[in-house]
Amino acid sequence: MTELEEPKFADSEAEDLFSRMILAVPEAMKNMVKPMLLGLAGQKAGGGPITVEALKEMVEGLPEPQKSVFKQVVAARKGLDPEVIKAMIEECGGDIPRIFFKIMERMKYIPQEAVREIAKQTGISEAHLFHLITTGKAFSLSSSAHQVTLCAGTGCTVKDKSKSLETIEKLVTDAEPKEVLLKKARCLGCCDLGPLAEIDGKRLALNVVQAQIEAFLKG
Amino acid sequence: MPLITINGKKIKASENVTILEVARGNAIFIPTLCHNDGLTPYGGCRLCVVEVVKNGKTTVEASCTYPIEEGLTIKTNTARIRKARQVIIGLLLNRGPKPLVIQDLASEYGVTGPLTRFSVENEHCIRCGLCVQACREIVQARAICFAGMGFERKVTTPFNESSLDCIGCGTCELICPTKYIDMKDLPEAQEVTPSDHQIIGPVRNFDTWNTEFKVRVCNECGNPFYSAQPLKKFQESQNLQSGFFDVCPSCRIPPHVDEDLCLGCGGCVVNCPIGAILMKEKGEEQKPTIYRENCTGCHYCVDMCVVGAITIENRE
Amino acid sequence: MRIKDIKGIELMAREGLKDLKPEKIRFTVGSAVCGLSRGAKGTLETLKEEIAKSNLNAEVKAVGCNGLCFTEPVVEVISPGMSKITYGSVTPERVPELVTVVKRGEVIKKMALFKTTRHQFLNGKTVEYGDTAGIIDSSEFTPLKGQVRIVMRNAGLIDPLSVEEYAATGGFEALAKILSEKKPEEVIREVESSGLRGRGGAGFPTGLKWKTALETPSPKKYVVANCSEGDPEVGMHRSLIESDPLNVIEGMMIAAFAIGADEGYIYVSDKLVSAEEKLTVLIGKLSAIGLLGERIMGTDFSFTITVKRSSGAYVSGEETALLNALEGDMTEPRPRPPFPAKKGLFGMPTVVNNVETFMNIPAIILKGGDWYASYGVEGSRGTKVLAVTGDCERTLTVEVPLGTKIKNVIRMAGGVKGKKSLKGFQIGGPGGGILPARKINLPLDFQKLGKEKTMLASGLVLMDEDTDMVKMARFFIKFFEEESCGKCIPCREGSHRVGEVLDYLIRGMGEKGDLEYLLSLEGPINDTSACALGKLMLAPVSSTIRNFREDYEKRIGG
Repeated sequence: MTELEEPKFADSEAEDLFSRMILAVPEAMKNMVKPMLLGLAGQKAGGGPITVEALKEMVEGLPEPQKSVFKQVVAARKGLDPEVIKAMIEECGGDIPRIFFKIMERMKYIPQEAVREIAKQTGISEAHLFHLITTGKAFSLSSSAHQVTLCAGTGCTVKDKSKSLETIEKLVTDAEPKEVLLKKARCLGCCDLGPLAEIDGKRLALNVVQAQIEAFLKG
Repeated sequence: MPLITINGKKIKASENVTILEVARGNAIFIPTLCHNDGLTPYGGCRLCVVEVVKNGKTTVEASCTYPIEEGLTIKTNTARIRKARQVIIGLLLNRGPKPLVIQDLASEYGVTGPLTRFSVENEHCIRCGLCVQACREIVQARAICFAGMGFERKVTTPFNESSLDCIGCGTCELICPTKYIDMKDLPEAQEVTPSDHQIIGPVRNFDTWNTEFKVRVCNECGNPFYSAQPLKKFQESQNLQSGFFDVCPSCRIPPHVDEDLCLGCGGCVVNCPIGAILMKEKGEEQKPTIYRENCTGCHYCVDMCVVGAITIENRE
Repeated sequence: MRIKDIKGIELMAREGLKDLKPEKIRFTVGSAVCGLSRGAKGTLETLKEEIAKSNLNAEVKAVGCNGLCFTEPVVEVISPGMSKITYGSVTPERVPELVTVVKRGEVIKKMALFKTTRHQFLNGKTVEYGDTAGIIDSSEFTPLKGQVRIVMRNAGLIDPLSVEEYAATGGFEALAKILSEKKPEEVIREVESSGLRGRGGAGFPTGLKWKTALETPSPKKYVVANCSEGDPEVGMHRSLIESDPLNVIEGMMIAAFAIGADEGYIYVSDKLVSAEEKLTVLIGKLSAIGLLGERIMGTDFSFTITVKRSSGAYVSGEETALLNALEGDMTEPRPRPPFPAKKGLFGMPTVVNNVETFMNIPAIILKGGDWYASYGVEGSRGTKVLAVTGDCERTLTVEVPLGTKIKNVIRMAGGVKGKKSLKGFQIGGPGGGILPARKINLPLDFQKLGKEKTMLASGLVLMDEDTDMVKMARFFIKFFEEESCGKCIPCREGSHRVGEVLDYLIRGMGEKGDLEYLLSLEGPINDTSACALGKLMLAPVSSTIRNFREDYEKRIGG
């Protein structure tokens, strides 16, 4: 029987967390980094099965920028542990979009761990959940520092004679999704005030919106 | 039995059938791309459109999903239909002109392309959904899905990563009409690290799904017989012994029944999950016979027998 | 207190009437989405403060939107003995002056829009107010002239969360009537005689849809209200639900009785958070008093409603895609036939209607189908709610009898902003194309608009002389590209390619043959698309090429 010796994890939570960390590693380096991290974690675990605590300790001992990257992975997990997901599922009566909305409210995006956990607890396949998230304009798979909502309604578009909405849209689309997330609303219901744009939920004059976005993107 | 007219021919159709089924049963050819008789009709490619006249009104409908009813008049190859199919084929050529099935359709319908006025994506995937549907309806692994909407829609695994639900059966590769899915069985794959390289045995690789399975090799005969990951999942979910899949189905030795100890209660028959045991008459009594070709070696019967009449032969 | 019969409704109505014709002073503030965006919350808070400060015996209520969005925040004042006065643009800064003047028993003429001396409700009951001199009556207020309010009868008038106030205006009398005296077939006949057609854009005869569902035998049936409102030109359904949510619920209940359903869903767009909250609160209230749940008003009729939120796709407004979404499946349309009335949610007969359609139902039942059909014209009976936006002087929501000429609606909106000239307008949503200004004599009529290759949707968008029609066409095609579900080749691939050509045209890189190519796609894409989104996709392009060819020609190279 020729099978590589399987790394020993204390529980599935630790195994999961480790695989989340590996996912954050650039593709080309995955094969090299994985055994190295396993070795380090094993050391922290004193040679025994690797626990979540051992992994956290290992992260602390890493240099930057790896340390911050892995710390983010650990933090994302905290937001939604299995008990929290279980409560959400019960509260929403198993209504998947409703559960997603709840998670969006809390975290502004839906972490992969949450999807995995929901799949485990409801029996709905991860693939289908992924489909629902990527075809639902209300859901997001990654968090962004800022969110810009443009009213892409016909009324606002017609009224926008200087095409400012177009300019702002181009600014944001050219930027990294990690920094600014663009949402296009279809008629926010206050057409009299159009053309409209919001940054992080706050409605501002279009020239102010443009200036603020330019400021974020400059860093 | 509804009476309909198709291309001028009067036909008595069966109940609960679609136009496509009637056409095929009467040697009338209608092209399809996203249809498979083993799956629920999807109606995604729209290549199978036909003209339907109902109550004097003509509409264009997808024949794979339109139900037959009394009095319909159907035309499968009018100028309007040919024009519609040409437009679809033209659009597919710009998505990617390489798949042979698209080239065949293009020459059949006299469509030249791709049009250089547009971008050419050069993709093989035509989003017909056959792989997704087969994985969902037949295999029931549900490992792949459509992600995204509109032109950006792709077929992929969750998060574009190795899917935990995939069992490596290769049904997707088999059913794909354009050879988009790349599946390779490699007898000796290597894992390379900076200090070392190891031969990790046979793997089944799906580049398209970023998924690779080490294939389990039988302890007895040494032949690779199935992907290791789904076997592990199955073993855990069914509470089987940890070494259960060390041996391939061909090498399993079925349990042995000691007919002197056996009471003939039939408990083993009822509890065999596969139905590999049947009671046979032995003189005045009934005794169980285990059918080797059906036995999976799960040993439920061994555990079930209250008098211990069923045992596993010792293996050297 | 559980409502056991019509007497229970009447008791609630009496309570509600006390609020609508109060003995003390009542201020109402228009607090739907449009009002709130203009500061109505601040106005409400300041009103409460000022009333407390000046020891005025008055109450303040948040109500819905009466459609006069251009002059929000709207505040109405009922002072015993005086007319109800409607004030516009009552920002928080103007509140102290208003309270002082009201306390004196006077009116601020320059802020007052109009007065109301009398309200008549659906059940014939009236509420009389005094007659204050020096202010025009509501019937003379230009934006309201020509409006007939059936769907919007309570909008801006009642507290949307008050079951009593809704009952006071005749609410739930229709339900009580059919539960005690009518059979389902009779209800459907009444709806058929009204001539009501679906208000979501397709215009399918409502009575016929319900009849099909009734006549399909099944152990389980459903009623679904479509409020996914993904159209880019309207936020109006949101406003309708926020202003009079009980009207939707009662309409659904009557439909459920008529077809034999016991379960209903209201499917709201993801952005309609406050509307969803209001609906959920009211469903709770109604369940507590026995107007929802088992054995309503002591009869065999049981009905429960659940509110579900869409994940934000326009295609989920297509009724079969909506049903798929409710079932937790992919948000894609289903093949039709079979139609939902025969085989819908979970394979059971389902009536899916737009919220606006349901909001007509209680009135039709209470006053009769013939009364409803007296409004409108042959083939287009009743009224329609329209949100007028774009380059209009006054943005507002109106309800007018069908058959009204579009130019009359434009007049209510004050014409084109800045006195510019009108170039074109849109009446049929993104799939309705853009019509040239000379067509404003067209009536709001299903048939006549259909002949012009457009539809009767929910928004009228005015476009002035500075509008670039090629860019507008690009805007709509981009909308379809983003909203295409991706199931079928013509829509998924076609929308992207049409977009590519339009981009060339906008950049001035158009080629000879481009326009002909675009027009040649219309027939095949219409023929082959799996749902209306794809079928109507080319309308913005073909209508602008037909009606505004000059905008294109100047972008085509030699």
